[in-house]
Amino acid sequence: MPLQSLCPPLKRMKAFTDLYHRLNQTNSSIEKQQALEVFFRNAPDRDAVWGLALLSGRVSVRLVGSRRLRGWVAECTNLPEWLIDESYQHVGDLAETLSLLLAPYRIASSDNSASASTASASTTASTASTASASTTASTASASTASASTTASSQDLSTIMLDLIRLKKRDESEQKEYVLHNWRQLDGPSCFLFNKFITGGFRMGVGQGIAVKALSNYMNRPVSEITQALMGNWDPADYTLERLLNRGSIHSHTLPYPFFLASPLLSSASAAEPSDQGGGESIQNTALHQLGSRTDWMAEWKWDGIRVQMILREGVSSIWSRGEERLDDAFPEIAALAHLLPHGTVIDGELLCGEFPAVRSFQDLQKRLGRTKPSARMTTQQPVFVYAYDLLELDGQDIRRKALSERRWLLERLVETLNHPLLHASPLIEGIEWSDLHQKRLESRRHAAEGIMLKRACSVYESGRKRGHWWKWKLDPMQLDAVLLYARPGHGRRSNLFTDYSMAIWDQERMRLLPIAQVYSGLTDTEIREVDAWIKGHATEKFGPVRTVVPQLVFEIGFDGIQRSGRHKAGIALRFPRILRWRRDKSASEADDLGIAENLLNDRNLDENLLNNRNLDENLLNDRNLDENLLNEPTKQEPN
Amino acid sequence: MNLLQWGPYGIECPQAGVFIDPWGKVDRALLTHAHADHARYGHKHYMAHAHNRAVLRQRLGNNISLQEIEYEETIEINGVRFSWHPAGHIPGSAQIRVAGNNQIWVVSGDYKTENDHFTPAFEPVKCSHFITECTFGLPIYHWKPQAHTAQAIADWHLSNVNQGYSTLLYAYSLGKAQLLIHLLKNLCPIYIHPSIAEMNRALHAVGFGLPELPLISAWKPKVDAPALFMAPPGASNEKLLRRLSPCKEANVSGWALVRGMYRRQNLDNGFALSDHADWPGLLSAIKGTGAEHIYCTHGFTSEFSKYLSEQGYQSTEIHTRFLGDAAPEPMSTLETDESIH
Repeated sequence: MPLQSLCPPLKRMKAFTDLYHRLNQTNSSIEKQQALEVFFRNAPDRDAVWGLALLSGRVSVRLVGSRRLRGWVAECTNLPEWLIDESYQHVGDLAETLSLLLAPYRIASSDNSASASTASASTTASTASTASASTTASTASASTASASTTASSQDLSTIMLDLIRLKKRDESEQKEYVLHNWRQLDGPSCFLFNKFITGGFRMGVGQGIAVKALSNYMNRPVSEITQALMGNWDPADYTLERLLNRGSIHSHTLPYPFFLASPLLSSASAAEPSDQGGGESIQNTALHQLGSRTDWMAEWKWDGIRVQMILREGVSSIWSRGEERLDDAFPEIAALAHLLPHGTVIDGELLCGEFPAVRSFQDLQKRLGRTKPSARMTTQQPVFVYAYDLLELDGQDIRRKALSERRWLLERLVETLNHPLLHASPLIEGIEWSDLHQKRLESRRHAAEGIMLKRACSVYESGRKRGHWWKWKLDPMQLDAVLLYARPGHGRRSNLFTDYSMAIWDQERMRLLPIAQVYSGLTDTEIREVDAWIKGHATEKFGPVRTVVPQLVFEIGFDGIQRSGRHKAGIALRFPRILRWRRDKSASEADDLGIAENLLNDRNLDENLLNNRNLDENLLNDRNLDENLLNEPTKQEPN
Repeated sequence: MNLLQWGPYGIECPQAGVFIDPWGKVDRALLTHAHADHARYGHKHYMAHAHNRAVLRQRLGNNISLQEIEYEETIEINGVRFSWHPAGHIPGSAQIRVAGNNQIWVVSGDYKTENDHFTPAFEPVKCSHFITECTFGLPIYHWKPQAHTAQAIADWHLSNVNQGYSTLLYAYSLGKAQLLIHLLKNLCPIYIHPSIAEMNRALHAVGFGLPELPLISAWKPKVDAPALFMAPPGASNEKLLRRLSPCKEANVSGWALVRGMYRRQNLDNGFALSDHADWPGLLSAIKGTGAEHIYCTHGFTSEFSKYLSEQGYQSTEIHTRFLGDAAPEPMSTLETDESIH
């Protein structure tokens, strides 16, 4: 096949597709790292940069809404839209659904013969499918011919640039381009392409692994690469080499990699074998194993946004831990950063409230995602910063100094500055560990999530390194609730009923009120068991949602509770999750609204004491509650 | 009156007093094939294609009363004529044609339209009423040619071996396993689970040519080179399989076309190879019967039936016992086949 040498671009996108699928096929960090190294080695330089940007979630090229995409697929495949929706319900992933549906539409290309004539390809592709499909195929092939893009559109970087350019073009041009690629790309690449245009692309790998792979491949230290990849950068502007040199060019606006604490299990929850930890394995590190209390510094674990405030070369920048710039959303903090001495980096927590009164995270969220807050907003949702740490002083990186020394320097700096929006996060005194136990139970009253423990002699590491910094969170509040509705999950959990609506009894214990939407925190075995149970106990069907016999009881945990006008039970929970399956309880033994109200009153009492402020008025238009808290199924009316 | 009807025991022909693939306990059960969700224990008398003899006796007991039928042979019961026709699903599988009262019905059982050159190939049977399965009755299900998938499995196995891993494929012991053996026997050596060996013997006894393969237990860890193993999904927790590491695992099932299906089982890979018809296969089979009345059972019944109605067929959904989508669970401990949900 002498022609094959003429179409190397097809192979290029393939390098990225192969990487994606190899990453998905393994849970081993080493294999993931190897797959990445292979990618960096094989992919063209610009594709490597785009690959990096994509896997760190820096690029989103959402081109078309899902409604419109479904319409185009309906047109290409001659299928009714309701059937496309049903297929989506079954698959649980839109990009995947569409690429599966498009199988008969695409030119058979598993053998790299994408440049083969359209006529022969459409016959092979639709052997078994209906005649109507092949007619749509031939109309589309006409537009393929007219599209100026050639086989080079298969190059990852070209595709990404095309998509960005097309964002501003009209629908017909977008459609022509998308349909062209649907025909040209093979199944796995088509799936990724759909992920790009639906804005749902995520890579199954942490940036840490990518950094290690890149460090091996480029033979440069990890720290340098981590630094170079921080913050905002546009892959269109860089080659790999230039990107990695960026560290020194733009360094004055870049934050240091954040040092993250590891969770410390409280003795109560450590004794609970059914308790589901997160992904990482957590050993039971009890307080007494930490040694002498005097070796440790304790402070509140504030529930705000972790930030670095930077002033270098006269330019200030505010970075969140998620590596986003917050300067625009919080102009008063940006102004504060301008007052810092030159060459300063402070690590701290951005909080809503007026010092020393800290308000809830929900209040802070109202300030997020807005570029220029109104004057009313800055008055109603004032913010300030509790500083934890000092990373750079007089232009010197002091992260290797002991925490106790950095803290001393920080306190002097804050004192000198004497600004109403900047305070050192207070240390919790107390000689014995037992004092801390007591203090931790008071966390909620301080609007904190628990206690942070940091070894006084610790340096400022990057990433999550165990041993020196611990977060000791408060146990969650709990309710026993009844499973009422279930719907299938997505992705890995598609087609398994894993999203549950949980309910508690009303005051009279007559009716069940939905109180939280939880994503299963159960083990795989339990999920399968509950899934099978749901299939045998469904009483009603609304699209993907099943109403089930109210019978299974689960203990749900949550970190906050608030009054809410938009939820049927009148309350909303923060970060609800299943703690365990109460097989020992029947539905009649589940908790009721009265018990939930008690939790609510305790909480509000605490907050009102501290803040002297009524929070209820602000809750109705809280956008973020909708995201994280209680999503009730749309159709429901249990009797 | 319709020649075939359905009630608590499944599909019934009242005039002949027989049931097709029934549940519960009946006097006369006509079977389409020997998978456990079609051939149930406890009926008084069974009628099935002769290829099922050994498997049925092994699964339902040596002393069952079984009348063996050949393809195209016609049996008349009380004025109703029954005949068995190849369904291409697994060895011994058949569609059952039922004629009488000026009506012709066909019960498809499970079927596959691609000829695998192992099981007698599916033949369209003309009829006016067609009861069709629709296990994969959604337009996302398009199979690649089986040889293509077999090659992909062989390639993956080779790359595993190159990295020092063995390969463990999960395949149902009746049907899928033999199809895989048939497809892979010339590509690489295979070790099989005893329950697959058992089915191989049962099929060998009725004339299916299958190679004699070593058992998984014959493979010695740390001594023998990495190899390809085959076991039923229900065996995934057995000690026998744990000694095979380091090992990459994949399931071989039509459901594997959807990524979530194998990802949530923590498997390394999945290969979409099915002994059921895919979406275009179902549509072409229905078209081939020339039937106007279509009845959908087993699978995406409501979706598939609605689609057929929109295409101009008189289509009805046959309700089975449970409400709900009956989402598939290929790793269930029930050793049956893909159509068990």
